[in-house]
Amino acid sequence: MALCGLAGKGGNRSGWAAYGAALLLAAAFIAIAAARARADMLSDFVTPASPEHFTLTLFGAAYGSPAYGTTHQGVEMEQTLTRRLGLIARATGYELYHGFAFDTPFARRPGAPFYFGRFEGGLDLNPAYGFHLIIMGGHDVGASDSAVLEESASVWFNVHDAHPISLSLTSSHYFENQLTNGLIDARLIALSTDKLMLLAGAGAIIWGGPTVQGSAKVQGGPDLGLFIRDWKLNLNLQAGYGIDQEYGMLTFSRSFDWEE
Amino acid sequence: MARVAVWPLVISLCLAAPAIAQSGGVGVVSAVKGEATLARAAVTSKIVQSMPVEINDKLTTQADSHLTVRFGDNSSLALGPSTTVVIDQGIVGGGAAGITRVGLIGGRIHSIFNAGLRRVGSYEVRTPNAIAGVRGTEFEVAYIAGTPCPGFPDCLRYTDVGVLKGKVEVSNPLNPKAAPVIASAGYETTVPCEQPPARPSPLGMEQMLTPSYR
Repeated sequence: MALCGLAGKGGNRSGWAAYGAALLLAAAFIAIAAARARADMLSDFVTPASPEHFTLTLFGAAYGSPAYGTTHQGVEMEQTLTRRLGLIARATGYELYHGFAFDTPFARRPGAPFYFGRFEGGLDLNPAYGFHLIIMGGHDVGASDSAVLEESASVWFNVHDAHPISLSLTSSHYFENQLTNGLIDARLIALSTDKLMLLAGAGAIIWGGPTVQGSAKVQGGPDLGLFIRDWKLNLNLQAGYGIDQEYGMLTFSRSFDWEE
Repeated sequence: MARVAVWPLVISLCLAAPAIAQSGGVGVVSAVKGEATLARAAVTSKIVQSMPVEINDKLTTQADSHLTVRFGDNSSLALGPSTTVVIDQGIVGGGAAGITRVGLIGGRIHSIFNAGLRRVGSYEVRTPNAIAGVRGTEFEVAYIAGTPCPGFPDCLRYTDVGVLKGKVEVSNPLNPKAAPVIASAGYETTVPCEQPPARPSPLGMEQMLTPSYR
């Protein structure tokens, strides 16, 4: 399990808090999936997808606060295997400019900036309409030598409505420093035109582990998203306040799809 | 909903207007890519550019093929791959020539309707389980059979109507008691089997359902 390492010495309380929050959310997602599941769901896991899809996504992110600064960028590929199962692989390059926070995979040490790469692979499960659960594992190279386990759960409510609502949780565990984090987002589609979609909501980041002093760290704030149809481009901006004082996080992703 | 290519050869369409007037039909083929056939009075022929299109013609594109028909009123109809339509009704000849009703038997079409030359509601697309009455200018319709309808897994045939400009009124002729739904620009609706049209949701919602990197 991703979070077993949190039972280490010192700082356990913060780790278990992050673990507990992630577990509660994961349980909620599973309950939603179970409620939506159909009797023939299991057979869909082995029925080949028709047509099959291959998706290539380019992405990048920048995070800044007085206590922490980092950017990363990379490429993700997903191939559908069956109606409810996909194979996913991701390669990411990270730059850590100053500080240590929610997604630092190694213990605090001098020498910033740090540069490292991450290679991950895993499965994308789609147990119910609008619900995806991605589980990936991988390893870092470069300044970090950590193994990584990551899960991402996302669910859409009111899909056949003018303002569908999305709830997502992305959680990572880094084995080198036993840090666990969770990125939580709740957003709704506020506006849709022929050119774009505008999303609005709120997000939070929680993290903890033996190397994190005190209780679990939390920060959060409003979240704005923009989807430009013609380019299949997602832009997302989150800003808020918390343990890092004020912070801002900008992410983008651009997808390319092929139907086979 | 995937887009059907519309813009290629748009400029060349302008040159087709005289051909429409001369043909006595409702429109002409302004662009064809790949293989497509036209069935008229039990005779099936391969479609070539500038071929006239008449009422009751049945147009079919093969896989990886696209076809665009331009009408005298500057409206156009683009067929995606593996699509079959029948020109059910239209206005023949001259600058007002155009279609008033098209039947989508299968596949995906993209319509640009020149509302300026017609009264509102004078163009509709019919699939086996949906009627999309045009109140605007640009929209897409897809009729899909043999695949579970997203959000309605027990239904294996459905129609998607996505609106890019203006408004489209969508109803299900198999369920006349169900109230029609009006989808406006930036929204789409799904008509699953005999069920009423779903409430309009943001256009391209399927793309949002698949997890993108966050």
